Amino acid sequence: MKGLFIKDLKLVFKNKFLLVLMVLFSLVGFVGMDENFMIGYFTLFFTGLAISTSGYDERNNTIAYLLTTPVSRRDYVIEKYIFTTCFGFIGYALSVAISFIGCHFIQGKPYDVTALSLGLFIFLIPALMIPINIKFGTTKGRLITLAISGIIAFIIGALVPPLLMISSVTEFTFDEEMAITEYVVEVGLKTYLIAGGVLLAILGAYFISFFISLNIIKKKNY
Amino acid sequence: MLEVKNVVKKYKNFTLNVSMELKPGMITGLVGANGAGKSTTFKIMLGLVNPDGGEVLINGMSVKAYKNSGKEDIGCVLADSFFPDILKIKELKSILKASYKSFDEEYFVKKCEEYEIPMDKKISELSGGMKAKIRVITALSHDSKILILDEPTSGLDVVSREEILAELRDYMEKDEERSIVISSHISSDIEKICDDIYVINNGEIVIHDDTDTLLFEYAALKISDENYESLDKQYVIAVRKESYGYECLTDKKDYYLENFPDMVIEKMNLDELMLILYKGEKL
Repeated sequence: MKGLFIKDLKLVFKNKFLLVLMVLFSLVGFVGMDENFMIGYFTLFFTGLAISTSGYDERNNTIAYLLTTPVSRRDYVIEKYIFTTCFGFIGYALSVAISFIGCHFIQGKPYDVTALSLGLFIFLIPALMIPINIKFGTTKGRLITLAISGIIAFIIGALVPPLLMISSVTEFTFDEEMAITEYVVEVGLKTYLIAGGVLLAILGAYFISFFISLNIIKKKNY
Repeated sequence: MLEVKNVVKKYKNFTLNVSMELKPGMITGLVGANGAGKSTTFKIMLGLVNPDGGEVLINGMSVKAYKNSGKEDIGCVLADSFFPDILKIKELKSILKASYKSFDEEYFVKKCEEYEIPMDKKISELSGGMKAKIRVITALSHDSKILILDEPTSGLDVVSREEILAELRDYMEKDEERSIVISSHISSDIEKICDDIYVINNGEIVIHDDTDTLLFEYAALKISDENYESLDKQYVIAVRKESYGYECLTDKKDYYLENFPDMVIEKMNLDELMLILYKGEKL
């Protein structure tokens, strides 16, 4: 599996222009970028770079050749998840560090810790994209991911406003309102609880996604 | 060493149904027209395509159960697959070094120098001949026991082809337990290098014989329409209609030479043999 990691690292560093762009963004991040945007963008960028290695594998039908080397189908899938997650995490950690330094020492404003949890949601993208890419290839995969994202956005868009309406007409008693407020304050103070919940959800998504990917690749003909 | 036992793979308009055996110390050729099933057979041998029936055994073990360590014993060239062409040769070298325990870095570098393949060039920037050579060098650069080569000389000039064939001969000379299975559109390459040959047509093996037998025992019988009906067809494999009458493929040239001294009997190469099989009718 070591060969797979080296291959993907070398492929990622072929995108030198994008990496230079990243450095420029980092500099902007120090002086004035919103931490939510910074963390989201960096994590997404690094995750995207890692996922793009699948495109190179596909372009030269490299997967077939790799499977003739001492690499099993299972190894290929494991490597893709580890590589993408690690690379995404590098982006996440970098952006957290840059935005934190920017907020505290340059901009002099309080750090919005909810950005830490929101950034974690980006890690759901590989869980969705890796099995789709293995099944359909990266070109079709991108379209399918877009379609699924659209459907999810549509469902949220269709469900949330009615739910908000229902909640707005619901009359709470004073005690109920106090209980909700206390809960919100408590949770708000303990952001790490939200982060933990998001992390658990991501781990669950990865677990399901991994077994779907494994099932697809075992049946696939190259 | 490698056995393809009654392997069946069904597609919408095509069914592959092959059995083959690769013996130690031998170079086996697989020839056939485009779409005859050569690449699919190779991919099944390598476990890249899952067959619907039958099995592939490598040293008695099913290819499905073949572990990563076992893959060290196999080197391959695939017609449509290689490492990403954006990679430089030196990067390819480090990937191979990390992939194979038995990777021979010295051999890889030496061969690249010998064929003037620059280590700093991307695979995509190499000429057709260099690309083919780097694929073969890659397959040969670890201690493999079996080479599975799908069209390794495709698109090459005669000099480059000869160089690749020489590499394969060197590979075989180093260890008498090694073996190669190779496909090529260029039948002269197959005739030169192979000990035995399988001919595949429409997904089925139609002929399997030693190369010497194919070249010296097989022949074309050329006969007129009138004589065709009375021809002793017990050793006729296939027949093709021609303007003058019939061209018949036989694997017993001597039988017809002895019993039909007036008949036109011509020796044939692999291309001519395949033409009768493909364009004619199998008996």
